[in-house]
Amino acid sequence: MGEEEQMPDQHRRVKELFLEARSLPSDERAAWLEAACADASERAEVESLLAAERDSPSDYLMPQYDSGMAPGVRVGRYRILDQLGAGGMGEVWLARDETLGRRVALKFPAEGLMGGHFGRRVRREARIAASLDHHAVCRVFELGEADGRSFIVMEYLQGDTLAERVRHRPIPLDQALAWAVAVASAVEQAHDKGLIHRDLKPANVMVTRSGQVKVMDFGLASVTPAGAGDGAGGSGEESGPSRSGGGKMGWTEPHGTGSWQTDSGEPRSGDAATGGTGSDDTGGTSAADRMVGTPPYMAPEQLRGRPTDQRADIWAFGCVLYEMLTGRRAFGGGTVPEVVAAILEREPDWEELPESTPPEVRRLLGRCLRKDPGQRLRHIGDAGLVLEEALRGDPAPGSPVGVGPSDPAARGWRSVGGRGAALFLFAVAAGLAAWSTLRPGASPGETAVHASISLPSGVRVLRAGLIAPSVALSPDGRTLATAATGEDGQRIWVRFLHRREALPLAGTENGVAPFFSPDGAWIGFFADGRLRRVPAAGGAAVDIAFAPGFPLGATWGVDDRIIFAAGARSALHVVSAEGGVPERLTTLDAEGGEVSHRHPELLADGRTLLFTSLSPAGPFVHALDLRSGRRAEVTRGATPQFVPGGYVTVNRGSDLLVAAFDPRRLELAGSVVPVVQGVAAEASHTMHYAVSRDGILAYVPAGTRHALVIVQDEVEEIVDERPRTSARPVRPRFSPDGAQLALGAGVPSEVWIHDLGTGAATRLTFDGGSSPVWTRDGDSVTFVVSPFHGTAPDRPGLHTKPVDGRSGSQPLLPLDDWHRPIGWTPDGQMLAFEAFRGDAVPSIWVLEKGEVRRVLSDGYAGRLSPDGRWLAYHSEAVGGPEVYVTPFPEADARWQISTRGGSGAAWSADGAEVYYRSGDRLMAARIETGAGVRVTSRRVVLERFAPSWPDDYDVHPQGQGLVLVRPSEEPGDGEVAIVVDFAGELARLRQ
Amino acid sequence: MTRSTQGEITQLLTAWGAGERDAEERLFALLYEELRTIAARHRQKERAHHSLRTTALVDEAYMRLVRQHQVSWNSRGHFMAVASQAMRRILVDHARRRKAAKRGGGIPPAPLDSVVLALEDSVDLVELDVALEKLARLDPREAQVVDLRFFAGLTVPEVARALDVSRATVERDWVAARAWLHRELDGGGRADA
Repeated sequence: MGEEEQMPDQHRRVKELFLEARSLPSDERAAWLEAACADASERAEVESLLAAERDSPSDYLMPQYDSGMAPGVRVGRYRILDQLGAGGMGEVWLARDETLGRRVALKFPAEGLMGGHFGRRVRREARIAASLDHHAVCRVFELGEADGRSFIVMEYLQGDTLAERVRHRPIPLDQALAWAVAVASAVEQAHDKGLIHRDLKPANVMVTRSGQVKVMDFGLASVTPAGAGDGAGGSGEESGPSRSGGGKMGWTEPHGTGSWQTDSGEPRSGDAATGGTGSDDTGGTSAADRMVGTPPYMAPEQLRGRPTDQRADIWAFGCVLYEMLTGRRAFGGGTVPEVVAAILEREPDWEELPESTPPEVRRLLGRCLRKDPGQRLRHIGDAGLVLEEALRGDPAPGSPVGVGPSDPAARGWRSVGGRGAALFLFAVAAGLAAWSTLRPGASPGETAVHASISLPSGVRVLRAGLIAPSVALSPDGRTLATAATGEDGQRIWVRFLHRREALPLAGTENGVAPFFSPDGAWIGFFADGRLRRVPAAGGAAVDIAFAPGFPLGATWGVDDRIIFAAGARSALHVVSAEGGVPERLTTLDAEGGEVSHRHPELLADGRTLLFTSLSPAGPFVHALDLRSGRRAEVTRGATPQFVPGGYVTVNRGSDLLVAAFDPRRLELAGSVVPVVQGVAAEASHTMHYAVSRDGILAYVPAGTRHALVIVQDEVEEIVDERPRTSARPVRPRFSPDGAQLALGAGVPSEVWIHDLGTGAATRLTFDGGSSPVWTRDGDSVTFVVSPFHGTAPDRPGLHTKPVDGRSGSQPLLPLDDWHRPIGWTPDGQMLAFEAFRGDAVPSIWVLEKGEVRRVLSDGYAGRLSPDGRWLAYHSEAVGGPEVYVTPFPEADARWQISTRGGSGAAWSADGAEVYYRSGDRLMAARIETGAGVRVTSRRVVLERFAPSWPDDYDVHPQGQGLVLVRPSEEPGDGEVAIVVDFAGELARLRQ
Repeated sequence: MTRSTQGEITQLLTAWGAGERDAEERLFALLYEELRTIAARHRQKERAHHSLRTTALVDEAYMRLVRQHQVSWNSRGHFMAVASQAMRRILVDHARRRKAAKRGGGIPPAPLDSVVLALEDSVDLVELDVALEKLARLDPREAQVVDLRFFAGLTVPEVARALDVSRATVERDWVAARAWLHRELDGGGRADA
């Protein structure tokens, strides 16, 4: 390297030469350096720096940009909701267009990028993209400017980029072809308008949750000579003064004017290229994309700096299609020179294409990836035609599902119409927490893709006591069968994972407990006391055997024998899939107390069987070697499933656990670890889940909802029920007249007002708010804006806002750590609140006439008595947690109210009782206050209280009951969660 | 962090600003702890998919320690200069521990994992640290600009204010440092030289 001994002086001189040289046009540098440098070694030094800059990714060492956006912030007519992506180049936020009432994505380019030349470029991107209107193009609505910020308003897309999709594995042929048709169609429209994308790559193609393909980021599109309409952006301008200072590099800006050289030494003109990081902002750039900072999707003429036209996009399109089909880059390599060499000199490895690739698709790829643009396919539309033809042809061997246009009726489908059955892809927080225990150091975002499939509204996955799992996956993981109930009764519903809708399968009336044949062609199920089967793609259902009794599971072996469990007090039986009389397979060990065998699960070897053995000791998973007849207890648990890679999963209650399993020894080969929690399970120990042979996990989440419940005279009435996907209500508080509730909900939390008379819920805050308490006049609520909400730094603290919303919130007290209000005294002069103020536990404070003083240092979760003279609170200062009462605001004495544990104190309307939680119960202690406080009696208010948090209840001010936040499990829900690479996760854990 | 500590930091910043370089070490130690505390708390509070950013950490530390004590603007620059070094030390130490743990088998999850992983997407922090030490001997200000930009997430104008130099100077240092570091770390520019 040579510069180890470099002296500071020399460093300074080289730096000056470098900075000067890089500002020159590339063709003048050589001569300039020749003249300016003292000697050859100095010149080599400068040139190495120039080369280093040239080779560095455009976001190299760039700080993580912070737009200052946060949920709740308003930008023009947009309300920021959530962050979608961030990187050195900028941020993308989900926002709501409050004028048009739609959700949009706002792209904030990183600092300085909107100024000068690059700003013009970004603006042109917006204009060009806005002129495209195609179903497969991500819409750009406008270039917004507000509060001095520039941003691009785009269609909000939910899904994965192709880069993410292909990272795991190749995309199945028919799927890849269908997506490629959409991409071709989008690019075709752009080309028709004279626009070239120039940065087409998997990370720029989104597959939305509903399965639509969207080409994104026409950020580098330039207007070709053919498209004379937009004079703003000829490629000439692009090669102009593109460097606007080092601090402004990045995003989609080219590396610089002609500074990028190929192996052949030919300069590349600035207009042709980009860093490989252009789509950071869409969250779609994989680490691999940043590998060398240059896109491996550039056509040879782009690399050589030659003029480019739409054929550069055709090259990139070929690269994308190849990558979809093979799961590999067409032109890969670990370093810039390797990638460049591959693009310029080598053919892609055609052997990588799946065998089922139709010849016409192979030919198309060849024509897209010709090095010489003159030999290349000219019109992207031609590619679309070829692909559509290939799709219309017979489905490729090994591909059970055709994707092409099909007549649902012909396949035995009964469409349920357009009632939103959409594929959702999102990171499920629930359950992922469990992963981190298995996979130290991993952040949840890195784990398997989670998805959730929604059944049409009104259709729910069947939940019943004595039943086998209501979900099944085809061996290839591409088809989900679920027993579900809708208006039309009980059916087996089928959902091909890449298609939009779940549909009921004809002939499956009253069908439950679905399972697949090993080739995935058939779905077996129980209905009306019979074991039946139906083609997975639709068709006539046929009977296999009589199987009276509760259907408790079945498994279809490679030898076409079906092992099943029918009856709650039965062993396993076996029958040919072709039909016949079932024979008993297993024998119950009556002396050992066994009452039932259920949940049979055959390993793909057709030899090893797992099942649940039920006895008074509880459920245990047993293994049976069908050949030798050897049987062994495996572990405590039920509903065993094999997972590829040598694992079994079992459930214990609503926890799904996994362990390595050795089929030869019929025993576990490792410890049992929980992987998913909160899965729907039945009293029969059945858990509703399935694992496919290729390692996809599907499960029915235990449908916990949080309801606001009014309890009065032992009658519970649900005031408001929030679906599982939204946050639970927190700290509901009755208004002084008892007619309204204030509460916090959501992440970040906002304050809501529920009118108990009309049932209407109104959102009161929009910039963060939680833990509301009412002012004593009932006109306003005081709430906290937490410093951890990410709102503007000026806002954290206590605020008061009128509930009629007629005026904004008034700041009462800024606070920069955790805090929350307790309540106002009746005269409205004092506000009690609790906060962390320099201590490990929160303490209780009072705000009076702008002055703050401490009331208590050893307690929190306080509530003021109706007369404001007493404070009930929770403290763990003396032994365990107990509830105490102290005079307020001078806490000079205290009396213990609870015995044997207490928390979450509240006052009765008349102030004569102190409520508190003790264990699962809600208690009330009657007190007499005089010189001191004396408990005269205690009663149980609710045997089953147990809300999520002791503080999540309130007592009605006129004695009309209580309000609670109660989690409730819904029987049978309309969603199935999917973990796409479950087996892969387990394999990675093992490493 | 107690209020007395906050007061101490304010005093230290003032002293440091006034040229008392002895204050720096103590300030650094305090900030180091504070940033770690903030990171740990974020780990608990933030939703899982929200990755923590160094900018947010440093900003929060600044808000908690300095802003409410009405320290003058100049001190913000001083604060950031020290905080960026503290941040770098924390992250590099963390990256080093992760590496060691990886070799040892298990890596206990830690609050800074997401930060380190995000940064290490583009660069090996331990190697960067070594290279920055070397750069600091050749051109201390260039290294400082990298600290402020990369580790504390400051913008070019903010760095200019923190170091009391012009924006153009910061941009020149930044461009030169990036090229120099890339050559140093990745052998960039050597491949076809």
